[in-house]
Amino acid sequence: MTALLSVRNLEVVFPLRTGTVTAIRDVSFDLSKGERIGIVGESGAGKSISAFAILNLISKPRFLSKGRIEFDGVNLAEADEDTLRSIRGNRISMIFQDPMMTLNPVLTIGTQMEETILAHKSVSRSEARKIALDKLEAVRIPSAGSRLKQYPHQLSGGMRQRIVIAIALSTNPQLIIADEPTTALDVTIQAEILELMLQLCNDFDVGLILISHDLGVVYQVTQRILVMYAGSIIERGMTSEIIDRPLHPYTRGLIDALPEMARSGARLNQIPGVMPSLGTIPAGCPFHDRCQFARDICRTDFPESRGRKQHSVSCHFPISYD
Amino acid sequence: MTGTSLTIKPGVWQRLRHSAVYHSFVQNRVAMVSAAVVLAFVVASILSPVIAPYDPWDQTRIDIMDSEIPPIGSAGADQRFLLGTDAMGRDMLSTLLYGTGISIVIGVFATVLQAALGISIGLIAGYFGGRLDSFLMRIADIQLSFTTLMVAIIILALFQATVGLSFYEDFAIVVIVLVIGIAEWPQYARTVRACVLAEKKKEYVDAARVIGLKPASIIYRHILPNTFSPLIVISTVQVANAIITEASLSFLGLGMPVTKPSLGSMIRNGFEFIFSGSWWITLLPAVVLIVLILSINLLGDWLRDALNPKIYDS
Repeated sequence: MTALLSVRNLEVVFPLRTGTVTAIRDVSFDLSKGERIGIVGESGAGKSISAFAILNLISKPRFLSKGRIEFDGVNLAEADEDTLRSIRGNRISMIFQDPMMTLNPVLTIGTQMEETILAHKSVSRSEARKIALDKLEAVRIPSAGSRLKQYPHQLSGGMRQRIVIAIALSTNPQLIIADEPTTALDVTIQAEILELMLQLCNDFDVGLILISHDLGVVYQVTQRILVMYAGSIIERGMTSEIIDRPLHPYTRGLIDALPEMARSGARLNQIPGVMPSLGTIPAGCPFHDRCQFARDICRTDFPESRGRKQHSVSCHFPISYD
Repeated sequence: MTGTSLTIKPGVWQRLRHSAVYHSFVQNRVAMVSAAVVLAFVVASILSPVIAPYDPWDQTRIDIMDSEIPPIGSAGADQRFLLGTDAMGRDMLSTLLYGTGISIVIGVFATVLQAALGISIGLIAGYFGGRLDSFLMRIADIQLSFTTLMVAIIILALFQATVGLSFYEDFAIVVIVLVIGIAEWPQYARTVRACVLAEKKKEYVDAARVIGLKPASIIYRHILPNTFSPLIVISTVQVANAIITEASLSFLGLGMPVTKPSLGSMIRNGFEFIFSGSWWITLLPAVVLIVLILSINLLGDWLRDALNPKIYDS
């Protein structure tokens, strides 16, 4: 099966006064049609930048310095603005973290939905309204018709995120990139939204890249997981493999840190130390100074990816389960 | 489409009735009074051809023998002229009504011109940033370093000298609007730019870019509506400023001509007669000007408070 999206050797650079800093290094992955993958990692690991890089929307002065992003045969890294615009929001949609911020406060829901549809489809305003209504019903918003005339501040957080999802679906995209879509919501709403997203991806055969710091969230929805640390992918594999048998000590740490893993009465497990800032990523394995298994080779050589296709890791001493 | 617009109209009125701005307006007596005063002036000057007893612009109907008649209530008053006459024998009440109209027209149109120029430049500078931003803002700085009055005096004096007085009398109002409009655009440009810089970092702008909208529609449909509340506030202040600037220019003899006087030219025309006892010729337009400007500014003050959610706390 050919990939819908194929990212190869992606690199994003931030120029600073003191020189340049590499935010994303050598990120490669494939996504086939209708597949759902998750990107996990802590804040600053480069998850969101990767998402923006896929749409070639890195804001200046940062830039894409290397790599190919092939979406359905088009290299987005080198495509012109018109081509990009015909793909953004149309064939690839994006959902952001905070639905309060992503909806324009002064425009009605209906206006914002119609605008997206009209930007990409040659339909009349009343047809656009019909599509908008349809999608609002698809995300199970009650009394959808009257919502179209409302403003974002008149709706609750969960409702707003449903509307953002409806906007993302309104052009029937092939891929949705969701950047922490449930982080700003409380836990019960979070479960509803995740379930909704999963169902919609199945119903409409839409691919999904789910970005989250929460392995629990990613586990519920995705088929494959990429774990990012300090701008690199350090482990990748099938979701169940990663959760059951993490190979990288960092992934293991993330799983152990889930509240579900803590024994009652005991403190939550945590990974000691903090992620290095992008300017000070150490030589060798970027994780070595927080890793309890680190040896000399970890401080000098960057570990190449090893393992099977279903599950590979960038670590000199992956955890073994023999 | 007609069906929806019919159902939306009462909705808009309903929304206005229930808005915080409306409540703050109803509870603020100063705002209500000043709004009423401004509205009264506007209505009176629009209706001036109907309600004015005479046509002060028709020079064939002015009788020099009627000059300097004091207002009713003073010795030597004439029943025909409620507020007396000026030195040319024109009815003060009619001249005031027409003059207020001219002042308001100049204030509003000059502000519209400032806003059109300033908002477009500010949006472009703020959204695109970089060198274009620096270039446009330096032009604004240069423009601001010349005071409006100085620019206006130079241009109007040149204009008056080159085209001759009769032509000037016909087109003075257009030139004054242009001069005041062009001289004050940086006020808008700076405010809009500052707002755009704040707004464009917000996620809804990212979202609009991700949707694949063109920069022009992001700027006009998404960012511009979010900058409206400071713009409404500046606009009231700028209308008052433009009226004052026009009055100052007229007082210096560079504004509206004597044949079609604005409030400023009326003050100037009467100023020569104040020591001969004809105080009303200069005092009446001065009072009207002060009341008008004060009301607009008080309205602007209230608007600034009403549209700024941060002031509710204090």
